Amino acid sequence: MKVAELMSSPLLTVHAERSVRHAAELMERLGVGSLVVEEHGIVVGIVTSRDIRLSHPNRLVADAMTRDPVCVPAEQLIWEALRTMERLKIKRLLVRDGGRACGIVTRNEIRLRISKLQDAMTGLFRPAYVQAIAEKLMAEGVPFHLLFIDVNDFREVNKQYGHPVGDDVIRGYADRLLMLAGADDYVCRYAGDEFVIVTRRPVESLGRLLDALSEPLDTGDVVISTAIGVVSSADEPGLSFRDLVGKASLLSTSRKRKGMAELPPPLLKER
Amino acid sequence: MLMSAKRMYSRRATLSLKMSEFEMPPMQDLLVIGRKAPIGPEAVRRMAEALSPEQFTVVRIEHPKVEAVLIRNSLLQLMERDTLIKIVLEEADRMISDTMVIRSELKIEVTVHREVELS
Repeated sequence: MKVAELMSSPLLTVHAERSVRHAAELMERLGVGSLVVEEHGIVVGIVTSRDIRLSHPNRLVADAMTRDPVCVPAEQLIWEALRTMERLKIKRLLVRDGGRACGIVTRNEIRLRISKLQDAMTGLFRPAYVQAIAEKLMAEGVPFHLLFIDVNDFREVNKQYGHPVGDDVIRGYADRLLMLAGADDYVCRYAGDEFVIVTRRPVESLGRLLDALSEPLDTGDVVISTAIGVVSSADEPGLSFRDLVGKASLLSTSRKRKGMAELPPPLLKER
Repeated sequence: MLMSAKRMYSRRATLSLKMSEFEMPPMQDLLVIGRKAPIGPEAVRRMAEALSPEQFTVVRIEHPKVEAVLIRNSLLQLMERDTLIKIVLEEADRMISDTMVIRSELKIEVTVHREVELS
């Protein structure tokens, strides 16, 4: 999901030497909350409805605007754009295509779109999130690992202890993933009891993550284990995201089969 | 007796002209610009640049009421900028509100007294 898909375009502009009053009327007429400020064909700032409220109507737009607006490329993923806005505590980004400003994207629009990409039960993202990240990394030639994590005997948990306990297990495991995930990890709930992590961690750090993920997890009612399949994008050049997930899921299943005898069954905790 | 049906109607305008010389530049030596003033620092900078090119500098200020001060460059050659701004703000703070622009004339007189040994 790229910024270009969410931005408002074409740019609605006002000249830096027009009055704040004029900018306010223009915003009202166009039904927008901000205008890009131009002078001599160059973007020099953004003026928002908040700037308008705080400024005398006689002032020049140049005296009310926010100078040097932060720009992001149209190709940037919306999650990265949101991170930038949250870090800088700003509500809008100017979007550029090459050297040319081509649109504006707001924090609220991105948050709304992202919320639609989140899994309601766990709060984790849906697969489209890691797919977008993985495809961008592939396009940029950045190597990564893809982890396919399958909760062992989840069906048994549901059968033996009921679906509410099963839901708790999924939520508990999602919390663990969020706790373990660092800045280089992108996590999603892939399907019912399956999760995918795309990570740019170096191998040593990845090993530590796998160790932590392989530890049995006490979710409150049940102790569960997982089978994890790992593929490296560097070892599988030319494979699509779908192919990588397929390969990692098969590895996970194979590991599950091999280790079935050794893996502990889900245990109901003694209370 | 009937009132006359004829009514008088006229519209008149009285013009009064006051003429005086336009001071150049109209902003004298200093302008102290309030944060909510009808003109902001950029407008003032452009005005000063149009009327007296390269003779004034806008200094933006961190102050609750004052957004910026326009200063004649020649004053900055006589006195350090921070010292000058500090004095101006101390004085302006007592009378300015954040919606005002205050014009000020500032003269700096330098007195030198030297003693030399007579041969």
